Amino acid sequence: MKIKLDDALGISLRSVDREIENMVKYDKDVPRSSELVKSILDLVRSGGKRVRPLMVIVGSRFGPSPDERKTWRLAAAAEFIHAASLIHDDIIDDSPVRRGQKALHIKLGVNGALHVGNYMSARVIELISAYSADRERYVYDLSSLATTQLCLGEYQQLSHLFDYEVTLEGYLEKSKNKTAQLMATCLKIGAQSAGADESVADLLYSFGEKLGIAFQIRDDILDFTQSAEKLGKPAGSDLRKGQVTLPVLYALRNERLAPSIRAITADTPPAITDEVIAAIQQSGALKESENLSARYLDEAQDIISRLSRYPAHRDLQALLNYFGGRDN
Amino acid sequence: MNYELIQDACHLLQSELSPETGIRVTISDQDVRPFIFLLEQYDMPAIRRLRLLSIYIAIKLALQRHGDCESSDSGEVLTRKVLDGDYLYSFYLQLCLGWQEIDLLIHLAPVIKQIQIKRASGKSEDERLLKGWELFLQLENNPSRQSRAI
Repeated sequence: MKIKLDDALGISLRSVDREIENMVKYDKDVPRSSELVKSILDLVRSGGKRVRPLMVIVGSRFGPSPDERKTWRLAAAAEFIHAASLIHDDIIDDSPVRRGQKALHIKLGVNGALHVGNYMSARVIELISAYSADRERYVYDLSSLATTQLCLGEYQQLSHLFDYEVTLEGYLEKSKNKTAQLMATCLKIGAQSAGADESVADLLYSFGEKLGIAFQIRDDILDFTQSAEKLGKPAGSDLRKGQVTLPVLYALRNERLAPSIRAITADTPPAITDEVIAAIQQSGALKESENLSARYLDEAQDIISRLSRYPAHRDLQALLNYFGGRDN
Repeated sequence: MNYELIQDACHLLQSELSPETGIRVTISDQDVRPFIFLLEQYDMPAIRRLRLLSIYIAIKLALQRHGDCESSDSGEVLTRKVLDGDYLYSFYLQLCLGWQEIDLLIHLAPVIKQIQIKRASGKSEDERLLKGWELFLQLENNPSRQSRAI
């Protein structure tokens, strides 16, 4: 049986969840019985692997003086930022379901959900302001958790819909902004909260970035390989919506396949898109994508070796195994 | 009304925004008039006045972008409004940090949060923003009031 990530890291997910819930429960400005509190608690309790909070806590294990209180608050803050972005993503993607439940904008309407997400982001700023006696630290933590890069990733995606001239570099840059940067930041701010050396914190950032890109690539591959039932949407949904992901970029290098891919637009009949998606699935593009993902994981593995003097390097290994589906 | 200041603040904000966002900074005189009157009551270097107005405009634009999102908006229109608002909220934060307006950021954090709480419940109390700034400038210019407030 595959061991759960939180077990492998020796972190109680229940405690993480309690910390996340406390962010809204102890906000004196929000009535306990309000729809806002209920919505956020429902969202937290609907599950989630809490990868980002776990990464903050793992990062703190690389410092000489862990400040547990502060680390756990940062961990909860990271999840709040992530959850807020998911609420807004669901509005943008018009996704009706999140973690098996109705998405928040379906329950509360677009305006309600939008402002619940905004509340969560604003609450993070308020809390970090409240506990930071050290101004330099405060500025760093806040600017790290700012979501400007994440938004830029979304803009990049939006402005390149059905754009088959996207380069590999452009794809990687978008993936860094959208996915990898927050993961990398989690490890780094965790390490810094415990007084880790700057060089160690930077290595952890780099590790998180590589893991994040590998994760995004794997997600893009799954969009082609998993069943519609498992995905909750038809296979190849990204391409149907105009997102030119890594498997598509590799498939475009196939001269026989490229013209039919380039012909896909927002107006293409689904049956024709189905054929192109099947052709991509059967091409070598998915294997090539896996290879690139594996390369990022290998680079992350090298970083673990460089941090082997820290007992917590085993936690990085657990993260890498989890993200890469590796057994050792 | 100091139109030049408004124009300069819009230019400054535009130059700081990433071009990838495609956001065009425009704001009506009416939206900034009460804030300009407030700023004019306090002595400060011209550059700071300009920066404070830019931060104010960034927040106002974020509030506006997220204030009129309807599920009936077409896909790309809604996406742009959501993204622009998200970007501008994180951008005002970056501006405050970059321009060393940390006290302002700390002061405004609960104010902006309270505005979101009201909006999430279907009400609007956006006027809290101007009141929040007013209190900040008062406290900054009269520290004895600050100690009393604490």
